[in-house]
Amino acid sequence: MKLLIVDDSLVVRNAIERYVSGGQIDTVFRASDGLEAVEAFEAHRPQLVTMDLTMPRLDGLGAIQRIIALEPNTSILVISALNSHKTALDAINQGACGFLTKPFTERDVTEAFDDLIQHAKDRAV
Amino acid sequence: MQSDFVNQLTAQSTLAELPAYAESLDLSVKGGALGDLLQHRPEVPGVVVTDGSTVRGVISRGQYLRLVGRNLGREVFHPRPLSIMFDAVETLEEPMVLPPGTPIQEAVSRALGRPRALIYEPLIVGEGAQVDGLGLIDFPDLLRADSRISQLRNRQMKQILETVQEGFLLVDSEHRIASEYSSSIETIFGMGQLAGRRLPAVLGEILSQERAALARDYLQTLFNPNVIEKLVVKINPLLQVQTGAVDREGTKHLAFTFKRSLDGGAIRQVLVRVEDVSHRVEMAAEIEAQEQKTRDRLGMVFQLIGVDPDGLLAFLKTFERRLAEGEARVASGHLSVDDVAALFRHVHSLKGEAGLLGLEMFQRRVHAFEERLVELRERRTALAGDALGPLEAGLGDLRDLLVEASKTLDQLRRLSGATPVSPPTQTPRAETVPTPRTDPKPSTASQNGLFGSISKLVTDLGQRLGKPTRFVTQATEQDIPTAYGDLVREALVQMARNSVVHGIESPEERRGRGKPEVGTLQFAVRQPQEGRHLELVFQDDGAGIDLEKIRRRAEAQGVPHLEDRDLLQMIFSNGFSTAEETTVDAGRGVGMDLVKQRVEGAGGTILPHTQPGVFCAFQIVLPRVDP
Repeated sequence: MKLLIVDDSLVVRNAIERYVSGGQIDTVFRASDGLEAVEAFEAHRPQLVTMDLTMPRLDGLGAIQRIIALEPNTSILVISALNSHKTALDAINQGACGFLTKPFTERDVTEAFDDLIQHAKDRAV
Repeated sequence: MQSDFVNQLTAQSTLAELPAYAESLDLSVKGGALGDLLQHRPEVPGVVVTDGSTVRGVISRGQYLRLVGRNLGREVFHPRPLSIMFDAVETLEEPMVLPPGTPIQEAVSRALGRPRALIYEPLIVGEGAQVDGLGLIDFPDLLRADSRISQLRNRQMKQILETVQEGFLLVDSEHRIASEYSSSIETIFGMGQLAGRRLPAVLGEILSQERAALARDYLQTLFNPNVIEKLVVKINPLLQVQTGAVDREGTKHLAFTFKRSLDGGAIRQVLVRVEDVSHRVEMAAEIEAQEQKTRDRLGMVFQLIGVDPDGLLAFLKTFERRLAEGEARVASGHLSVDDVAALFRHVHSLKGEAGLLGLEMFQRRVHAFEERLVELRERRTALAGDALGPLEAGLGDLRDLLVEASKTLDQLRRLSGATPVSPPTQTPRAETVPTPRTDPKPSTASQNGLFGSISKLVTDLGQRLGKPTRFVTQATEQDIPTAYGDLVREALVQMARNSVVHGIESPEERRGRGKPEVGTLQFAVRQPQEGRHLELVFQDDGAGIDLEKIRRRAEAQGVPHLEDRDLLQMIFSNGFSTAEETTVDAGRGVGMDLVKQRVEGAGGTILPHTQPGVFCAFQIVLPRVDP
């Protein structure tokens, strides 16, 4: 499966990639803001996306909206600090399917990805 | 007899507990044999039809009667083999044989799954296709059993919902509350008749509108099949929420958890569990308060080590006196407006005295109590009954602090080999004010280090406010008669604080006015040889008293136009302050009226002098006493 990791922090991008690499993820793309994310999504059409919410240029909510408009069946996991319940719920209602709060542990990420990958497979059927 | 079986059933009953009829006939027998059997055994619903050792199916009483009821039916079917009749009735391709252990409700759903024409036919119960032990169950018996079991289950569910401590309720995709919810929900929410109402609307009555809107959004995500339930648990906005006043007791802390209830993969309902966790939250707060006390105790040790022990003893003595005074007032059960003001002045002075010794922790706790008193004072009403509760709590806290400090001081003194001081004991409210015992030292010792302490207070405060200031005096402790020890300390603390906070300008301003950057407070004691008076003069080189500001403030308070002289007197009036906000340092406007009260109480006078931009001074004249 293809995964797009969107986060403006290099440290966070590296951590997520390290935790999920191997297993069922075969290709990883990265983007550091919402606009890059939409471009990368259009170019590579990954089934899975992890999305930060607070980013320069285009924020996570905007990016989720555009990606879902391009492909409603994308499984998007928001990985962000829980600054506001409102924003978190907005992200889900825009089309994300889960929310992982920062800071996270390796186990948080791998467990979330087990669910996310299963979810993406169920959708593909 | 057969009707009795219903009463024996439990919610877990199976087909084995239903009446079964073990009548079977082989296909090879004559049809008349079935007619005879049904005629002699009117309770039998039909027969199992076998072919040698194989079960082929059922002919029910109803099917038999329909066949022989036709024109010449009996003549056609009775003399011929049963197989002719079996071929003439509608049957399942494969006979349905249910094991006796099948739960009733499952059997019902299997029976209802048969073709429409066969739905009401009897069912075969038995182990596999063995002819031995087969039986027929009448469909109406099965329905009666099913209805009984539903009734039992509902009753059990009701009992559970009535007795369970936690609140449970179900909401549908429109967020409407289902009719069956646990009765503790009504207690927790403080309202009834919830069935059919929308949960977010109900929550809107006990939580903020904003929180209720978040709850609505969250329910929406739970009903969204695209959302992974496990991955939204953390964004539950009702994980712990505080209600508004549900009842008169005040607020509650509630914890909500949500769980999808699936039916064939579809999200049919969401189960909501609500817990009143107020107790847990209060306990956590209590533990935190305990921990704070432990931290305070440690901090106290470090603070007390650095304080002049005699000054500290004198402070604790004053603390005890003021506290006992406050306790006695509150214990009388009724506080007049003046009593509240008096209590407030005592507390305010305590704060100043704590600051004088650099006892930051005392200052902080007394300040907290003072904040509460301000609210009470501003109501300008007498207090009695429940209204005294906060005061009792605040005084109790200060009493704890005093006991704690005395104990700590004792321990410290024991460590350093000195005689311990008896700690003030908890004073029963109704008793008269006790005189605390102190160690037998010359009483002049209580002023030891007074000027040093004032100097430290001034330096520290100046540093904190960015206005470097020093305190200078030619006087010595011996110049102050013992009888005036407390008075002079209180007056000096108050005047020094006022000067640094309000009088001394910033270094830039001072430079602009051609003054040295460091402000100076001076104190002098004059006692004419033969005179009958003791004269104390306190003076700062600050901005002086801003008469215009006082005039505006006075006018704002409704005081008519005053001469400058009278304006100056305003600083002694109760509750007068020109500071914009209150801090631990100053701004209550209570200090100077207290000083004046004490001076006049001792038969003396106090006069302010000022020259705007140059200085402010207070001249205190007291009757002479023997040192």
